[in-house]
Amino acid sequence: MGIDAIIALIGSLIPVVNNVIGFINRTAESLRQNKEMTPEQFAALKAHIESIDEPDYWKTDAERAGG
Amino acid sequence: MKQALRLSILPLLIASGFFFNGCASILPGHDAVVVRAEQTISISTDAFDTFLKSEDQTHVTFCSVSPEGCRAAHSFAEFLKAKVPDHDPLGNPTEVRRAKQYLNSAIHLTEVYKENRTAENKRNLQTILATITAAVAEAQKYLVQFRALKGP
Repeated sequence: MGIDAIIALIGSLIPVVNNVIGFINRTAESLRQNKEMTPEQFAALKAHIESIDEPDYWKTDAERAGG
Repeated sequence: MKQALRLSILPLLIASGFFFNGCASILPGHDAVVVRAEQTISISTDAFDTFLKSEDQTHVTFCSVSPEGCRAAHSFAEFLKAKVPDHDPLGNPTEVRRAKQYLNSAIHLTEVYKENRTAENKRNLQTILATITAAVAEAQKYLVQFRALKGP
């Protein structure tokens, strides 16, 4: 594997590392709150789940192939 | 190299340890079942989204490095994304993605438990949380592999 390929590989992985770090930070934040959510927080969580599958990466291969 | 790899996956292992074992005590006046349910739903929501996004972004790279691992990760992603029969709030039949159905069910059963804190409702809630936890554990297994792709 050439140096250009290695650089391209590392470049392509930077967003993934950011995703994982963000996930860990959000996990830590959630665990710091050892109390029940307020109704507003719970409603916000429900709304977040409701729209979670909007991004393209939530589509199956068949859905993407079908346009 | 091995030391660097161990260090690189350490944060995820720590996060997963908190996730599965819990950590600090619950504040007085708060129901531990509800707190753990809400935490599990919140963390799992991010875990599913992070896994699917990362799997999508690393698919080509991961397949060139580990074809078998790539197929397994992609198969699990497709499993989570697949639409399964469900019902809307009015009871009409509909379809929803499996990961979203898990989370919606946990939300619904948390609300049911909050309204009526019976042993049966607690059991139902804990059953769906166990299902979600298992799915998140599988997703985390692949997230560690995606992270390890970066190397030291």
